[in-house]
This record gives sequence, structure tokens and C-alpha cells, in this order.
Amino acid sequence: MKHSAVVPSFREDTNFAYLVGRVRALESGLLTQKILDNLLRADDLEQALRVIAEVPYWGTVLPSSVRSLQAIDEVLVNHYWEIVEDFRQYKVAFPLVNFFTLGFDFSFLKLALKYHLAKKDLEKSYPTTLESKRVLRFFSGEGGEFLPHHFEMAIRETLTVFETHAHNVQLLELVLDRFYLQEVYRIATTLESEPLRNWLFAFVTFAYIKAALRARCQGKKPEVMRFMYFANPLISQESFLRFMELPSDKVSELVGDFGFDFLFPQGVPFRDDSYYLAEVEKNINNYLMRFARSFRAPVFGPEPVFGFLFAKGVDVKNLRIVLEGKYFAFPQEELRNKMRECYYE
Amino acid sequence: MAICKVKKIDILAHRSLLGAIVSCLQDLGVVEVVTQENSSVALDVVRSGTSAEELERKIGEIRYCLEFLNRYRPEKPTFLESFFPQPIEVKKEEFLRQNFNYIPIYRACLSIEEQLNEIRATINRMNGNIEFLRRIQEVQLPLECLGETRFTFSVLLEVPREKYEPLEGKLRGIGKEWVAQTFSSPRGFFVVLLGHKDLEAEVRAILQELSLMPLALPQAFEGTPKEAREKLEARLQEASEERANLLCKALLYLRYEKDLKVVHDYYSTLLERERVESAILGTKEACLISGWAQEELVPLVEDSLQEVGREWMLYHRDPQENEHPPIDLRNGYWAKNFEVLTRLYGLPNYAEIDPTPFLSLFFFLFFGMCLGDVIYGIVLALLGFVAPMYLPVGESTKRFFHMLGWGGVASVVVGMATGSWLGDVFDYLPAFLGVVTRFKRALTVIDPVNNPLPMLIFSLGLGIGQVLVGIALSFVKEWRRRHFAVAIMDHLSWFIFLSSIVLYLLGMVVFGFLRSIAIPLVVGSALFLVATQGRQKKNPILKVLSGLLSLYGVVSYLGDVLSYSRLFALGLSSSIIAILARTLGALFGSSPYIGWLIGLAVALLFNVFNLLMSGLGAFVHSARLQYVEFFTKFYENGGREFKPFGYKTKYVKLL
Amino acid sequence: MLVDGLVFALCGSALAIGLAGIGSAVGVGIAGATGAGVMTEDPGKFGQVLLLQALPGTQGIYGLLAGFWVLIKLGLFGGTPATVTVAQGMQIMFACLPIAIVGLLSGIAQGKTSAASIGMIARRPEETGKAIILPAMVETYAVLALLATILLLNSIKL
Repeated sequence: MKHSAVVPSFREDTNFAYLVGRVRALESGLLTQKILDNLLRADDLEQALRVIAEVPYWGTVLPSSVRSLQAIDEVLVNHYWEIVEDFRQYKVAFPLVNFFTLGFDFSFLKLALKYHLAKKDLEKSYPTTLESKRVLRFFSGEGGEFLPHHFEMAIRETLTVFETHAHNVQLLELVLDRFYLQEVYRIATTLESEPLRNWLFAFVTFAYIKAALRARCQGKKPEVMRFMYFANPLISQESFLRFMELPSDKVSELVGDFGFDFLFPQGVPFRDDSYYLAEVEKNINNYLMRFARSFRAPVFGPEPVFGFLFAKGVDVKNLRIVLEGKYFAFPQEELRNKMRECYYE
Repeated sequence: MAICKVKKIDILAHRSLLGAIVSCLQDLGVVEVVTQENSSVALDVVRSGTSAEELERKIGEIRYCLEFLNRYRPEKPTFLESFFPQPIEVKKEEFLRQNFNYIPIYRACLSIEEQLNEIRATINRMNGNIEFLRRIQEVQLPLECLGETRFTFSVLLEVPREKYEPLEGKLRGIGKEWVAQTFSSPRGFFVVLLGHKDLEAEVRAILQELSLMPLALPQAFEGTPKEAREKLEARLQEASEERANLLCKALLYLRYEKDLKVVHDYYSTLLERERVESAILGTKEACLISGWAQEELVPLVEDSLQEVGREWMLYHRDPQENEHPPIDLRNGYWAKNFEVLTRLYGLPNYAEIDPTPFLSLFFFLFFGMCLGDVIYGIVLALLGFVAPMYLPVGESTKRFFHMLGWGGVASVVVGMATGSWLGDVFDYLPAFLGVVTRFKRALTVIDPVNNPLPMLIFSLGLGIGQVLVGIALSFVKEWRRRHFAVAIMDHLSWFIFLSSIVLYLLGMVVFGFLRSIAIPLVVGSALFLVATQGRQKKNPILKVLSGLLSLYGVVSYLGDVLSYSRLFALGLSSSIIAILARTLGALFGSSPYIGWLIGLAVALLFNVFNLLMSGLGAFVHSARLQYVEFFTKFYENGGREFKPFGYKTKYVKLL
Repeated sequence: MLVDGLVFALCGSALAIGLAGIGSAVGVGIAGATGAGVMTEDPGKFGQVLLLQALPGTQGIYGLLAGFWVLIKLGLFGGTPATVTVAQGMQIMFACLPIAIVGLLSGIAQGKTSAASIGMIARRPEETGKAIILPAMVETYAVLALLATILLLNSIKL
């Protein structure tokens, strides 16, 4: 947007004024370490739910009548989705909210494709920006249906790969993941805010590292994982594959070369097991969170909105862990170990 | 001394007395109980805080009930009521014997809410179904006919006009074992197709080819769409009635609102006690309660404890250097109204001076100068002093109102001196009120609208005064702490230096003789500053240099003083806007017929707006001058509010 | 005479009222947008938000005041209009510039600070007092500019 000389560029950075105001108010409903501690200390699910009801904005989200685990899960996801969708209506925030809706969209696509290929119908509606009927019609190759370009490409390619590679369902996810990350990368390059761009780059890079480590754990072959890779300057295909090809004792060296030592738990040698993977995933999340905390400070601009949406997502993740843990009465310390860091300390 | 002196008290008692002593202390409400720190004796927590969670749960449940009832309350509280809720008055003995059982109400609220949620879900579903049935209402067939039998299948289709012919043609091509009944629809036709099962696959293929989707019924219906819809609508009506009934039922519980509120406060009081008890340490036989109490109230504590029993000892002592006693401000009748300003910035720490008495005087003056109009002042004073009498406000709100009231009083005084009575309205009074105009003129000392300089100088003079007072306070503070060197070299010297400059300036303008006194003082104190301000530096050259450099600090004082010019500017602005209101009013008033009415309305509107904006400005800027120009000279803050252990009530006022 | 001094004087008055008004309007607008965002989630904050939103409005008032002062000085409200030479008119116009320019820029800056303060009370309602002081710091310069304009106007003899 261009402006007259009298009011030079006062508008751009205040475009977000309204959203930042909303975010500031909503931030008081974010979980803090103290609330998490209280949650962990709760004796059972009921007590934990009561702790949540005390946090601003949560009382109405999780009414005390919600009791079953599935219902809680659904409520939490929908709550997050509603916020994301609400913020999506504002044109200024659209590009950055896109990042959050993409996550929902691609997990819906994965599910829908699997159901489609198994010739089953979807049972209920899922949070997504896509119209499920359209997507289904698109799957069945009906001409004339229009989907946003990247989804169209993703579905076509996935179906082609599926056909040409002996109906391997694993590939389906990998190809979709590739398109997801590619789209995230594209969003990152279009954002004007440098910190946000860097954050998204970090997100993509870590996603590859995470995927590579998970592949090691699950014994997936590097040739298969190749389907997940798109050409990008953040991490080369060669090093992505190297993560999977190297013997266990060399992996931490490679991570060190990237400068990502902090991802690995201190003092524990690298192992190819799910415990280690979970630790790395937690560290990645915590690193991204610490990065995102710097988004709290700006008064205008997209950062606080992005930071809040990310923090809300982490909150939902934390709550699911805690509430599920309380439902099955897991020991407190075990749960504490799984907790992600909070936006506000 | 405006910061209340407190004593550290330790009550050592037999375990059997613990409960009674805690009750006694809570009843007194004068002791702040703290956790015993760094004690050399190994002590255990007397009580584990298990029942605290129980209490929290209860409070949470009661709060849920109150929120639930609030949501469905038919008459919402008025604006004033929501700001100043009327407290419930309860006798203390009754309060403590509280045993209202809220659990049935809690259960009822829960079940009503659950039923309401269910009904809401049902209503949504029914609305969706009604919508669907309305869409296909042209289909004149009972809907239960749709479905499969052993040999037949049926589908309901909505066929756009242009696809009807191809569909018919294609169906003809596959055989004869089908029938179709057609009804018109807004977009073309509804077709109910009934066929033999053998044809099903082919029919579906045709449908796919033409991209026609069979309409799936969201649930089983009976009768034609119209009948089914009417039935549903009747059920919807029932559901709404049921909903209304439930809401009525919920409202019935509103009569327990008062009880719920009382019991809420009762449990919060218990919780408070529980929290305190978990801070008490002891052994198997004894317990130790430590806390802070105001000096003059220690004997009262001792007396009250006498009634509990005899197996206790009370030690009290003055706070030690490394301790941080809580702060309780004690100010006189007038100054206490301005405590809110000190609190806004942060309470003083125990080792310094309470700035409130000084601040109150300056704030009073400054507010008056910023608003500076007699009529506005009267309005504000009436509001400030009368409103708290009719509103059920707490002590702190009352003080805030009183502060505004005193601001109004100051404004009246300043307005009289500057001749601003709603701006210059009083100069234009009709002839028979000439006395008033003469009275006004007689009182006027300076007229800043026509001759602004004296008022500006007066503002700056006030600024110099406040800055000097600030430095003097800083000197007193350091002197009291026995930092004599700092007190003299950093504060007294500056005080003399600045005040002698002021004397010299005075001498240049009016009292010539002052110049001869001031010059040696200025030179002497300047030399003293140069000599002492570099004392932290080791290098002698640096010592002198930094001493010289310190004189540059005079610029920052000058900046501070200039900042007080806002007093003049704001005062002028409020009277000029008032003049503007009068002028515009007169302008509109000169038009014929109801012109005078419009003029009056315009003038009134402007004046109300001016009072609001200037009042806000007067408050904000007077406060700013205290914080930025005055407090920076001496004030450290960092104190913690004295919070005695007592009854914690939100809705209830104890008698 | 083609160009009367009155033209310049009125131009000054218009600048003071107009520019300072724009500054306040933009400032109040920014603060209002943030305030609306906060109140979307928490309508109970209306009082505090309104207070903070009003703060950047003072520049407009100062501008109006300066402009009005010029009009009074010119005797345009009742009384006989003073004759103004071109030099005097330009003097008046320049005297109006401090509040015009500073009002414009400080209004916008104060609006941003107010918006930030509204964000602050959204999270920490107990800090309303401090939140009000911060935007008031910006206003200092508008007050000083007003002072300059008034003193300058006062020194012009007609």
C-alpha cells in the first residue's frame, strides 16, 4: 500500500492494532507454568478440569459437563480451530494464519485420502478450511472441481505416487508432508516480518530433522524418505539423507555441524529409540517456543498474533497430555517430563 | 512518620492452643502471618495443606453456581450497580456459624446446564432437518417409502432441468424394471427412482456419469416432507418450551444467591485460615506463629490472646536491617486521600520517607492549576464529596473521590485568582447581575489569557519549589540513614547550589541585595561540588574532570523545572475552551426562534467535554509531575503492602 | 490589495486546527482499534480502554485552542476585525506551526503508546495507573508546543 506524504507509513504497522489488542486480552487465558503445576498436582481428571475452569476464557470452553476423554479432545481441537479460523477472517493476518490452517488442512487431507483409498466414508466433519465434499469429488477425479493450487498439486502427485509405487500408504503421508513443508516454506518467503520468516525456516528445518530421526527409529529406508524432500536452501537432500544413513554414534556430530546441539538431551548419547525421539521433539518445541517468546514484545505488527496462535497450539497440546494423563492416572513426574514450555513463564 | 512502625512478633504456644490462637488472630485482623525463615531449629510444618484443595474446590463450585445464575438472570444490574455492588451485611457471629448447604444447588445447576446443552444440540439438529425437509417439500411421497427392500432400491435425486432429459434417456437404455416419480423443484426436478436391485449398479454408474448425487436423508422421517416438517416443528416448539421451563427453574435458584455469596465468602475465609496455618511451623508439642503487627497494636494482640489460654509466649522486636517489613501507610485526614497516587507508583520501602504528605500538597496545587476554573471546580468538588455518600463504595474508592473533590476545591481557588468562571462567561452576564461580575473581577489577581507571562513564571516557580523539596527530602533520608557524607556532598550541596542560583535570579529581578549574598554561595557550592563529585574516581585528574562534569547536572534540573510549564498551558487551555464554548454558544444563540436553546446545548456540550478532558489531563499531568520530576529526586519505593490476616470477603460486609 | 495578511493568519489557524486534529484522529484511531480488539474478548474493560483511547485526543484540542486564539486575536469573533499586514500575518502563521507539526506527530505517537498501554491493561488490569502515565509522557511535547505557540502569538503586536 502506498500512502500520501503527510501520513508516512503509519498505517502498515498499525494494521494489526485490532488483532494485537485481541491477542493481548486472550493472552491472559494462556497457560503458565504455575497453572501447569497445579494441573499436574490434581488428583484426578475432575480436579484438573476444575483448575482449567479457573483460567480466564477456559471456563466456558471446557464446561464441567464434559467428562469423556474423546469429548475433551474434540473440544480442545475445536477450540483451537475456532480461534485460528476466527483470526483467519482478518485480511491482514491471513498469510500468517495460513500457516496454522495448513496444519489442519493437511492432516484432514491425509485422513480423507486414506479413507478414500480404503473406500470408506468419512464419519464426521473435521476442522479444515477445505470443503470435504469438494475434496472427495476431487479424489474421484471429477473434472471442474477447484481446490487451491497447492492442494490440487499435492493430491494429484500423491495419487500418482500411490498408483506407481504399489499402493504404499506410507508414501502417501510422506508426499503430503513434502507439500505441507513446501507450502510452509513458501509462506515464509512471502512474509515481510523477518523474525517470523526465520521462525518458519527453523520450523521447516527441524521438521526434516525430526522426520529423519523418526525414520531411523521406525527403520524406514532413506530411499522412501526421499519422497518427503523438496529442494530448499535450508537443508540439502544430501544431509537430510545422511541423517538416516549415518551410524548412531555419528548422528550427534552431524547435528553439531548444523549447530543444533541443543536439540539433544544433555549428557545422554544418541540412541535410536522412541524415548530419545520424544526428548528431541520436546526440545524442538521448546526451542521454537523460546524463539516465539520474542514475539511478545512488539506492540504492532504480526508477531504477537503469530506468537499467540503458536502458544495456543502448544497449550492445547499440553492440556491433552495432562488431561489424558490424569484420566489414566499416570504418575505426576512422568507427565511433568512430557510438558512443553509455556509462552509466559 | 507516615509509614506505620511495625514489630516482628513471634508467638510460641502449645499445640493445643493453635486453633484458638489462629481464630483469635483472624478475628483481630491486625497481624500479617509469615513463614518463619532461616530458623536454626528444625521445625516442621504443623498442618499439611490437604483441606485447602477441598476448600478451593468448594469455592470453585459456588462460583460456578453464581456464574450460572448470573448468565440467566432476567434483570441485569445497572451500570452503577455493576461498578459498585451493594455488599451483603451479615453479623459476624452468624457469618462464622455459616452452614448453608450449597451442594443441592450446585447439582441442580449442573443438571440444568447439561439439559440445556442437550436441548440446544437437539434444537440445532431439528433446525437442520427442517431446513432439509423444506428443500424437498415438493416431494409428495411418504418418506418412509425410500429405502431398500429385498428386491428393490430407491434413491431421491435433485435433477437440474438440463440433466433431466439425458437421465431419462440413459435410464430407458438399461431396462424397464424401474419407475420414477417426478416433482418440480426450484432448480429442476426431484426424482424418486425405484428400481430392481439388479439395476442398482448400472443406475449408480449413470448417476456418477451425470454427476448427480443422491440426496441422503439425515435421519428416518415419517410421512411426506411437509407432514414430517410439521411434526418436527411441533417438536421444536416443545423443545423451546422445555428450554423456557428449564430457564424458569434455573431462575428459582436465584433466591439463594445471597446465601451462595455468603457461603462463598465463608469458605474463602476458611481458605485464608488454611493458608496461614500451613505457614506455621512447630514441633510435636509446640508451635511458632510469626508475623508482623503495627507497633501500637501489639498490646491489643497480647490482651486478646489472654482469653485463649495461658500456654503461650509473645516476643516482639523491631525489624532488623536485612528484613523487609510490610508497609502500612498512615496519613492524616487530608493526606490519606492522596495515598492512591503513592500506591500507583509503588509503596515506599521501610527505610525511607512516605512521600504522600508532600505529594498531596503539590498534587492539590497542580490539579487546581491545570483545571483552573471556578465552576468546573465546584462541579468536581460536589461530585467528589457527595457521590461517595450515596454510593456503596469501599474505603479506597471513597478516598479517590475525595482526592478529586479536593482537586475541585483547588481549582475553585485558582479559578478565582485567574478570573476563570466558565472561562469568561461571567463577564457577559446581564446587567442586573453586575454585582457578580464585579465580585469576580475583584478577586482576579492574574489574567493569564491576556497576560500569560506571570502565570508561566508562577508555574516554573512551583517547579523549582518541588524540585528543591525533593532534594531536601533526599538529604533528610540519607542523613537519617547516617550516610552523612552522601547526604552533605550529593544532596545538601546541590540544594544550596540550586537555591543560591534561584536567589541570584531573584536578585536580578526584584531584590537587588540578594545578589551579593547569592554570588559567594553559588561559587562556593559549585566549587564544593567540583571537589566532591569525583570522589569515587582514583585518578586525581579524573576526579577534577568528573567533578566539573557533574555541574552539567544543572541542565537536567533546568529540564525538570521547564516541564512544569505544562501547568500553565493546561490551565490556559481549559479556560480558553470554556471561552470557545461561550463564543460558539453565543454564535448559535443569535439565530432566531429556538436559537437560544441550540446555543445553550452547544455551550453545555462543549463545557462537559472540556470538564472531562481537562479533568483527565489535570489528573494525569499532575501525577506525572510527581512521578517523573519529584520522585526521581529521592524516592526508592519497593515496599510490600501490609496484608493482615483476617476475614477475606468479596460480597459480604461484616457487622 | 491582492494578498491580505489575514490570509496568512487564517492559514496558520487552519493549520493548527487541521494538522493537530489529524494527529489526534489517527492516534485515537490506532488506540481505538486496539481497544476494540481487547473489548472483543473482554467487554468489561470499557472504562479503562475509553480512558486510554481519549488520551491522544488532547492534541486536537490544543490545535483548536491555538487556532481559536488566533481568531480572537484577529477580532473575528465579535468586535472589529484587526487590520493585518502581510508580515504580521506570516508571523501568526509561523507561530501556529509548533502546535500544528508537533500536534500531528505527537498525536500519532501517543496513539501508538496508548494502544500499547491498552494491550498492557488487557493482561494486567491492576496496572491501569501506570498504563495511563506512559502515553502522558508523549503528550509533554504537545503541551510544550502549545506553550510555544501561545507565547509566540502573544508576542505579536497587532
